[in-house]
Amino acid sequence: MKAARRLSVPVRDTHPPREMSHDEVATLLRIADCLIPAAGPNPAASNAENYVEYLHLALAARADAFDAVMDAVATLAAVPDEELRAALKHMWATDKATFDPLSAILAGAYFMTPQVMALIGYPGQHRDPAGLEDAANELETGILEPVLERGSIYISAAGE
Amino acid sequence: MTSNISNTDEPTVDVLVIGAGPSGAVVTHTAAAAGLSVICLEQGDWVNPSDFPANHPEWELLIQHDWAHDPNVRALPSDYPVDVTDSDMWPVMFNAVGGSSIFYGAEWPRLLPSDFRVKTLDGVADDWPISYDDLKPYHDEVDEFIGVSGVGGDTAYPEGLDYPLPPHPLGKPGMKAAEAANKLGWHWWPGTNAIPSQKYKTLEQCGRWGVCEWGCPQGAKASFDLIYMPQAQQAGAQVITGARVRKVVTDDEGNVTGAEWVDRDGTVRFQPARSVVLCANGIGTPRLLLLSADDHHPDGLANSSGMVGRNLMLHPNCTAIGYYDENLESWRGPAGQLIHSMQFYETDKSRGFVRGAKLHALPTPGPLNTIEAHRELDFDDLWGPAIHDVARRSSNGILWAANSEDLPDPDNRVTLSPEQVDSDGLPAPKIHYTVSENTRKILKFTVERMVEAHEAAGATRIITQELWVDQPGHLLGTARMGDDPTTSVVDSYGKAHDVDNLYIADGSIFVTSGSANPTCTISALALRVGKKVVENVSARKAQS
Repeated sequence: MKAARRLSVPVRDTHPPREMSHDEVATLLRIADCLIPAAGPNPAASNAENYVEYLHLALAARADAFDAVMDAVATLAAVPDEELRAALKHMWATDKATFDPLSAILAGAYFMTPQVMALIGYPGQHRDPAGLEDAANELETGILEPVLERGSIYISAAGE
Repeated sequence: MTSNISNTDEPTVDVLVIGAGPSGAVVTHTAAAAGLSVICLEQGDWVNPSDFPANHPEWELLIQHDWAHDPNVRALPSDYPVDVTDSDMWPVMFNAVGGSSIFYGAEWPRLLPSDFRVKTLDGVADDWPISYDDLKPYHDEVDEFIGVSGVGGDTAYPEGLDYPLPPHPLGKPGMKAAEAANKLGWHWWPGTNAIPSQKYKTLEQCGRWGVCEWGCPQGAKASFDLIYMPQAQQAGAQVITGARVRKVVTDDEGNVTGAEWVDRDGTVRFQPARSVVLCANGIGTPRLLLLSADDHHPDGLANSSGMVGRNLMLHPNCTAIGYYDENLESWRGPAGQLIHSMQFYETDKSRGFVRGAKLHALPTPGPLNTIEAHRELDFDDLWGPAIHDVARRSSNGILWAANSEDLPDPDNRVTLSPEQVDSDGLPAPKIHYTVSENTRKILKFTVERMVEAHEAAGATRIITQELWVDQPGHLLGTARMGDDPTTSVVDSYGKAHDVDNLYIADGSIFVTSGSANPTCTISALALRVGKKVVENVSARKAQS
């Protein structure tokens, strides 16, 4: 059941606006692997653990672009693997309105996977309050001294 | 929507506040705490910290559309369209209790003394009718109320500036940016932020989530739905959400009698009041004054000067993101400013322009955000094997950003759109805004300085943006204050020259923009206006 719409808070959907066919998903994964191929320790997009699960979440988060993405999928479905990169480069050059959300969704899903986050050293946004002495310890290094030594720099104006 | 008023017997309140952002919350609290009856009308509703995008793994995609800063992109039910067809920039805002402080970075610098005397010092724009010293006690009171974190004694300011809470750590990006500033001989100072470094009243201790500008999941930022407005409610104020005001109503003698507002069922209601305070931001306030035109005020309410809507100032922003070889843990907040620099704030005529910019260094959280920052690269430099290295840079970044001083220009203005309407059929605000030559020179100069800072710190890649078209959330100047009723809309206490019991307390009343992030000044001005409202309304009640 969909949540009631609130005035100042968007509804969070976790599923794309409609179910995708097997072929559509397969094409999306081909595109993803073309934009995000394996390199060194980094897996290709489709080989990242749970990538398809996060791809669904990414498509839901950009539901506004879903139709444009699916149109691109339909257009690129018949493009052979060896020509796909050139086709995407052409889209990048001529159809930013489609390429940008398509690539953001595919990359966004990839960098959401815990496996890839760990690989790139990104812990995600999380609560990490400062230690009680952290700020004082930094200032005790004397880093602010040159500024203090130069003294006041403000321009005086009558009747401050 | 029916045009008939459905309710005609609401009790008259002492103070009707329109808009529940920072200025609205401060005025609402000030009046309620003084024992006056207060209603605050807000077209949006409440947002909980648990609602914000950073609570979810897909947060970097959510901020691209559903939680975008631009209301024309986000298009929530609380939003109204902003007609930007004739504007160089696309103003942004958030419509909810808390207003745009929901999304602000809570950077909390005061204006400098020179900002109040630009005409005297630089021969441009106008002087304010008040001074730095006039505003200082109100700043001090607001800072104490909300728990500002910082280091006292900033050498960019006169003596006597201190904060109630200790500063946040600079972190690795802040330390690196500060070292570079030292190398260049610049002023810098640990960031002053309206983000409590310790738990403070209704605010949590900062958890350094790093996503301040997309809503704090910790409830640890002075978002004015979390501080001031809760205290206002405790003092007896009533906040009505889903209330879109369509007109401020006056009587035959020219005094305000209240406001008509539309509820979410489309019913028009009337709230009578002894005084009305507009706190709808620098776009919404002139829009409402223009919407309130009638036979007695054909050019809009409080507009005998013709200044309503004019002199819109937007603080055009520029940035230089530097990426470094070492891991700076740039996913960590606050963001919030880690440090700020006033080195280039004041006029130096050898630079070829007047006034200047305020610079601040921030972290660069999120791998997808980093990829988006690299969009201008050639296809092969981003898409393909290169993407992995680009994403890794997200932990290695420092964002230098700057607000440029935006001088007032009467042709930069807000009018009513002849074409676009909101969901209640009310004309949208139309923005007419051109970035001035002086501002473009400031932006170019400032980007060059920020590049220097990155080079001094050893950045291995620097990406610059000379103008952020879709980021101006600093909405200023469209109902300016002044002593002369022929050239200004309100006096120095926010009271309309034309209407005795109408006040404005938001960024509209700025005379010049300075280049300091303005919510700090908006809040201090709102406190000053609010206290005057209390004084005047109380006096009238005593007389009657």
